[in-house]
Amino acid sequence: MSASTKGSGMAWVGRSIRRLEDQALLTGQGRFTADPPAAHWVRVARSPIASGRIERIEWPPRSNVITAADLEAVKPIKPMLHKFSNACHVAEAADDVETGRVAVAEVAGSIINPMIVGGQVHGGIAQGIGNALLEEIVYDESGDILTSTLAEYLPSTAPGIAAIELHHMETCSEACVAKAKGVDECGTIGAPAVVINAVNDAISPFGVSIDEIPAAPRKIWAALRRTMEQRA
Amino acid sequence: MKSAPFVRHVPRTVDEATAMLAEFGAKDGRVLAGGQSLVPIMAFRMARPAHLVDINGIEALARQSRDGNVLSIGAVVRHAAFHRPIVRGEMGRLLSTVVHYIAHYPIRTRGTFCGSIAHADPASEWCLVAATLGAEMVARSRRGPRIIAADDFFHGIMATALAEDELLVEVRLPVVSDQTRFGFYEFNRRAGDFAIAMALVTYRLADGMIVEPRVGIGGAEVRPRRIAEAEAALQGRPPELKTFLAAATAAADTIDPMEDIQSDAEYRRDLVRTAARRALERAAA
Repeated sequence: MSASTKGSGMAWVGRSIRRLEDQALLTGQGRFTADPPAAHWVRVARSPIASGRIERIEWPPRSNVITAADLEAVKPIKPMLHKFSNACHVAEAADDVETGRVAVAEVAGSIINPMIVGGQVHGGIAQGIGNALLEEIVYDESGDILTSTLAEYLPSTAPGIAAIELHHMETCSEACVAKAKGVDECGTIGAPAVVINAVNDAISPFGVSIDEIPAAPRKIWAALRRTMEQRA
Repeated sequence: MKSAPFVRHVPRTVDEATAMLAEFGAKDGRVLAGGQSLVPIMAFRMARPAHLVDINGIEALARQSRDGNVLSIGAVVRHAAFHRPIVRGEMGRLLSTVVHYIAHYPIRTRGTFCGSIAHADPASEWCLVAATLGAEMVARSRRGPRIIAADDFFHGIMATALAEDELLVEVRLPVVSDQTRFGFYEFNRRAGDFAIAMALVTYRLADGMIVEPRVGIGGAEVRPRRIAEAEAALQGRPPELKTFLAAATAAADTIDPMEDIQSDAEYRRDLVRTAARRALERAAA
C-alpha cells in the first residue's frame, strides 16, 4: 500500500516540485551542449511559445545569431513524442456538516485518448477518490504503523463511487505503431485535486477549507466545529 | 496466510455439540457457525483455536419461530434470512431495515444472527438490536440450559457471559408491536464497514406523546446498551425536534466513547448525538 502510493507519485499530488536543473543554472554552473564559435557575450533566447514557428529574428549590429541548427552537437529536436494521456476532471460534492461525510455526486472527465478505456478510467477515478477521501497511512507516536491491513487502510469500494460521466477526445500518438496512449493515470491524478476542491467549495459557506488528503470526515468535522464554536 | 492447524468436529445434534464443547471448550475449542468473523481472524492467526465445533449441520438450529410476542432465532439462521421481513408488521420491517447495514451481501448469506451475538463486536448491528429490544440469550451446556438477559450478556469488546462449554443455541427477541415506531441510523466511512456510531430507537405514541422509549447506542462504547438518560428525555414528551435534540444530547453526554484511528472520543461523542437524533427523526417520519 505504502509502496504503491509512493510509486504512483501520490505523495506529490498538489505540491510544488523543485526542478533539478535550477540550482546549477542559478549559480553559473550550467553546462551547455556546445560552445558557440567566437563568443564574447552570449544571450540565450527561448521562445515562450511551445510550438510556434520563428519567422524573423532581429539582432543588434556586430552580433550574430546562432540557432540550434548551426551547432553540430545539437541534435535535431524532434517533436515531443509521448504515450501518456491528459485528462480534465469536474466533481460535485455535498458535505454532511454534522458528520463530515462527503458524497461525490459526479466526476466528469475530458480525456484525450484514442481508445475506449472507460473501465480503466473508472478504476483510476475510484483510486483517486480513495486518495482524496479514504486512504491514509497512520503511524502512532513511536512510529508503528496503525494502518497495516485492509481493515484500517480504506481503499475505495464500489458503493462509495459516484456515477462517473466520461467524455473522450482522441489525439493519436506518433510515438508508437498503434498510435495509442496509456490512460491508466489520467483518472487517478486529477481526481484527488478535483474532489478536494469540490469538498472545499461545499464547506466554503462555513469559512473553512481542507488542505490535506485524505479529507477524512473527522478532519472536516473538526474544521467545521472550530468555526461553529468561534461563531457561537 | 493460512490458519494454524485445528481439528474440526461435526455434531448432528445440540447434545452432541454440547458434549464436544464440554470436552474441547477448555482446550482452545471454539464454535464455528457462519465463520465470517472467526475464519478471517484465524487466517491472520489472531485466533488459533485447536478445535472447531462446526454447528452448521445441526438442522434444529437452522430455524426461527414466533411464539406470541417472542421471535426465537436459532444458532445457524443466516443474516440473509432477514433481507425480507421474517415476520409480519413492524418487527419484520425493523430487522430487514437493520440487516442491510451488516457488512456485504456475500457475508450476509453465510454469517449468522447468533454468531454476531456470540462474537459481540461493539459495532455489531444485531448486538445493538438485542440490547435495545431486551433480547434473551439461550445457552446450552452439559450442565443444563441458561437464559441470559441482554444487559448481563454483553461484557465488553468481544466478551460475553458465555462460558467455554456453552453453546448459544437461540436468541429470543421480544416482538415490537405494530404501533411501535422505530428508527435506525449508522455512520461509517464506507458502505458495509464497521459502524463508528449507530443508534436504534423505538417508541409508541399515546395521546400524541412518546411512551415506552428505547434508545440503544452501538459502535461507540465497548458494548451496545440502552441509554436511560436519553429515554428519560423522551418519555411523555411530543415527538418533535426539540425533544429529539435533548435526548440525543443526553445520549452523547452519557456515553464513554472508544477511541481508534477512525475517531477520537470527541468526534465519536458528537457522532452519537447525530446518530441518535437522526434515528429519532426516522422513527417520527
